[in-house]
Amino acid sequence: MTQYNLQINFLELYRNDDRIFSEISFHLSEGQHLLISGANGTGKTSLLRVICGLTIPTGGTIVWNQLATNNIDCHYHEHLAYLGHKNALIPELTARENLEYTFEGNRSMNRTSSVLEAFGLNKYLDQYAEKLSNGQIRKVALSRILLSEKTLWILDEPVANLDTSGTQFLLAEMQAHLDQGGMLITTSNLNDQTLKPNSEINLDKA
Amino acid sequence: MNLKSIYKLGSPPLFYKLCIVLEPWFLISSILLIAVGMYGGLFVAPPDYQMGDAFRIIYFHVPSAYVSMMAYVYMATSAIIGLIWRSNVAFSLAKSCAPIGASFTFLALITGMLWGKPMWGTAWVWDARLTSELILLFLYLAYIMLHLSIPDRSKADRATALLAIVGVVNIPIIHYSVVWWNTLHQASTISKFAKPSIATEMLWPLIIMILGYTLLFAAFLAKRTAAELAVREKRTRWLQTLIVGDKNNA
Amino acid sequence: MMKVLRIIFLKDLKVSLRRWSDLLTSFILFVLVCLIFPLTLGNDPSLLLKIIGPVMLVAALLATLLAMQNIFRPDVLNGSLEQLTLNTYPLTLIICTKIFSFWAITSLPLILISGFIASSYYVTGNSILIVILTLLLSTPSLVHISALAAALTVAIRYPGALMALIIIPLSLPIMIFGAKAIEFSISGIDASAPLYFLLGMMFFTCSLGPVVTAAAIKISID
Repeated sequence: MTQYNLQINFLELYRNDDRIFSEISFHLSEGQHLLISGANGTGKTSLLRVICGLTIPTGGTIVWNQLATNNIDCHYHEHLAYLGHKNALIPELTARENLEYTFEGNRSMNRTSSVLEAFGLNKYLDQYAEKLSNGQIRKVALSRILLSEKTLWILDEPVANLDTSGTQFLLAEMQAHLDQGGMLITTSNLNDQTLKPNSEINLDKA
Repeated sequence: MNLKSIYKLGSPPLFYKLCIVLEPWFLISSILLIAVGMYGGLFVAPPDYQMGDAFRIIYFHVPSAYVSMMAYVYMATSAIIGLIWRSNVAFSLAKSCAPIGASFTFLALITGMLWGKPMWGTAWVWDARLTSELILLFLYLAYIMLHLSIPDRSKADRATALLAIVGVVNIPIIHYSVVWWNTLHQASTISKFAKPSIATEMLWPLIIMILGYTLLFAAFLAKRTAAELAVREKRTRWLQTLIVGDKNNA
Repeated sequence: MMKVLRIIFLKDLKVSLRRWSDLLTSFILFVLVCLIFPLTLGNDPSLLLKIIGPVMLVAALLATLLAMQNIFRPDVLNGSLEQLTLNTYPLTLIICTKIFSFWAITSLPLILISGFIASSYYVTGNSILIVILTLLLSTPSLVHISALAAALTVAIRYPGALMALIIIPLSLPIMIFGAKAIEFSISGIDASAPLYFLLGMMFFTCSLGPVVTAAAIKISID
């Protein structure tokens, strides 16, 4: 069982001469949770996208298990699950089809049904995704992350749009994920301490 | 020339200084060469027995066409270099090549049409080379418009670099297709833009004009690239000291 | 790997079928353009036989241009294309499958109806097969070139004119040789030379197209 770790060194991002963020460094190992906080517009989402590898930073490196992510031997994306503001749900497919479309591994039926039950989605599985409410769409997208069996979860404002029971379930799941040795990076612009992070990066004062 | 000196060229301050220094030399030498070439072409070379004096437009048409094609290849090469090495210098070169190359293409088309009018009576003729020039103009315009449409500068650089590479690979294919299509239609009109057996007195002004046009392109490119590089590097120290240093001296 | 690609192919097929209004628009455009020419030019068989090659190719190009504007945009807007780029499977193969499914949905109806349209242009016998074969060989190349143009312009709000400007120079060889193939077969000459060229272009664009398109997607999603 290899020990996963993520090392970020001096990340910086400039867009058209505007500085989005700079000098971001941290280390994340198994069971740790990093919180990126800051007011709106301070670059939290951009930082998350850079960590995922969607946006190429102007400077700095991302190292996963001692291999740089642009090294061809580095299997960074095999262990990554990302959920951004857009829910990545295809409106023309039903919720069930959207979940089946993530063709990852063979997750057990028990696990799948327990997650869906907890989110209260079982009644809505055969509805077209465009007919669901925003909160339900968010729950389907989160179920996909929870069922993905990936080590590193990168979530952009995970509790946004969720109702109380959904939020509680999600926080419990996130804690269970950390206890099993998973890694978590989340953003938040609320000052809630519901999930105690191991480390925090605040983009406000940069 | 060792590899290190080539690598050093990729540094923006050095390249900027190089452009600023070289540009007047390029401009002056190109004007001289063009003047000599024009004199040779318009006055010294004897009139063609077939086309009379109208053939003299070859001294403006062929150099423009040559530079337009060379500029596209240069643009694509800079784009590849910029894409692989993420170099601001290379991307500035590629971006600056496009409008200049498009202008030379346009010039080639206009002079081609001016040649066509006395030759065949019509301004436009679907000759293989003129049609290829028109397609080249569209490729340049697509590049320029794509650059303008994407607001984020690095994204625009990389996307247009891909477009330039796809274009340069396709240019031989397009040209060959148009030539093949054209030879099928060549029942009536004969287009002899080629110069298979041209007399020496007619050849040397042409070579001088081609050299002159190339240096003119280099002059424009140097000035434009320097400007583009200055805009991109405006937050760096070397540019600040360059601007502010001048104020202190003045 | 193949299982994954098959899942993507079926999913894209399903999604495209549910977005049927776009596809119907491009199909109707193809049919209308092909039918407008005889209606405006008159009922002269020799004239119609001369123009059917170019008309069919131009109509196919316009229909493809219209249909391909929506190949990537909805998935970029809802975020699912990002998730595909984060996948472990190579994006090139995923894009190739996507384009193939799009071709099947948008171009196969055109190819099927082209036989009827050709016969309405007074084309007879073997030449109808050549018309169908020409469209079969040229539409994949057109679709791949349009996909590249779509990928480059996916972040732009109204990309129609820019896509046309990118597609037309690159698709010119296909148009020229496709029209020539149909013209040769109607005049009775052996049309195999232009058809071989179309086959070559098809292999060229279908192999390199997805590579460049995948690179363009990664750049545009940045």
